[in-house]
Amino acid sequence: MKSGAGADPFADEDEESGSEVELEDPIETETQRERQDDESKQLPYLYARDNVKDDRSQTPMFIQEDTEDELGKLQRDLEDMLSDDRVYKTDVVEAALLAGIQNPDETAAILRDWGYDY
Amino acid sequence: MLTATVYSEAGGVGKTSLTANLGRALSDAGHEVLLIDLDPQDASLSYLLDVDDERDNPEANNLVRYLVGRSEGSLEPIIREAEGMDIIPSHNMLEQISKHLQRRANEAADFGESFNVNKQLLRVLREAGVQDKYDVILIDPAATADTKVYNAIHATRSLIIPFEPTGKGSQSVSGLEDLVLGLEEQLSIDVGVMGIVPNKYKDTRDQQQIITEVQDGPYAVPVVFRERSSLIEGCWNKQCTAFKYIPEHRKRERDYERDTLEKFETLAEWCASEVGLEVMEA
Repeated sequence: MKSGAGADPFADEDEESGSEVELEDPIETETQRERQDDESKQLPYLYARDNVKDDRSQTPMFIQEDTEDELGKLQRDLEDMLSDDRVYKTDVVEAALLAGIQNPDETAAILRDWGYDY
Repeated sequence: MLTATVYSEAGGVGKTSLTANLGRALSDAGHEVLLIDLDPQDASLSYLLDVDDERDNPEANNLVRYLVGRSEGSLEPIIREAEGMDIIPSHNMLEQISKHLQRRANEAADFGESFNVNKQLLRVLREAGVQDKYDVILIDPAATADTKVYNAIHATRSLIIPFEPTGKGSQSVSGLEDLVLGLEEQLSIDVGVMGIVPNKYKDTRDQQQIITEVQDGPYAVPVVFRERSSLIEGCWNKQCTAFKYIPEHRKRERDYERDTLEKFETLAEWCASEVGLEVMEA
């Protein structure tokens, strides 16, 4: 947290960075930062980006409360497993999603638990 | 505008008294003050300022309705007044606010709309045009880390952190940093700490050391409040700020209590100058 007052959330929209009025469309695409092609090909995503939202678009995610809790636990477990001081939740979410995508059998098993394929 | 959330993860540190008295000092200095009580517990800001009579009336209009979009526009219908300040009192419905907001979010999703549960308070305040009526907003959320405080921080961007100079108190400040870091990331906002306000200070060596450490730390420590339990209890008893309690209920003024009022005034001036606040035109 920085010292001193934060930005005025009631200042005119143009004057203020980082705050936004709620948009109606569910997909908000961040403006892509221009980047040398070589750079982004060579560096791992974590180092190529400037902030956690780079090259990502936002989609609403509908998950059950239990899953939310498990996400929190996963984040804590990952922080123990990895040598980094912190693992951003945004990264955890996408990594977990990719793990599910790359393991369709396990994903199918969860869907069956919920009642699919009965 | 001066917008701040008065928050501590630890309970019982004097968060509510601080909000009420700081608000009063700012109001006395000529600012238009709006207090917002997000704490559904009985002994909250609304009780302290005696505006909690509708708290358990399920039919009473209240802030939760605005947050979920059932009431819209001006907040006049729910704003109460106390000691020259406007206040949005709390309501029992706030206990279920996470559930109500989540339901609204699910509904919005079904229609392809976005609805961020942690950004609704700012939306409500903007739609009500608070920036035209007030130059100070202070929010007193409950001490739990849930959507109430996330909404408050998102709507205000600045924190005033009351802090008890004990080991437990120190833990709560570093715990708060974790919370805020997570929030900043999730909500794409920057949060500033307007000040740490040590409270209930007793002149022990341990406490002196803790105060010194905090003062040496990265955040401002504009004033330090000493233990004033008699005065604070009196305020809760009579349901008013110290600014009202002392002239009305103290038979004789005690110097050290006058000091306490001056400290609130100093803190008020300090916060106002941090954001370059001028007194609004009448």
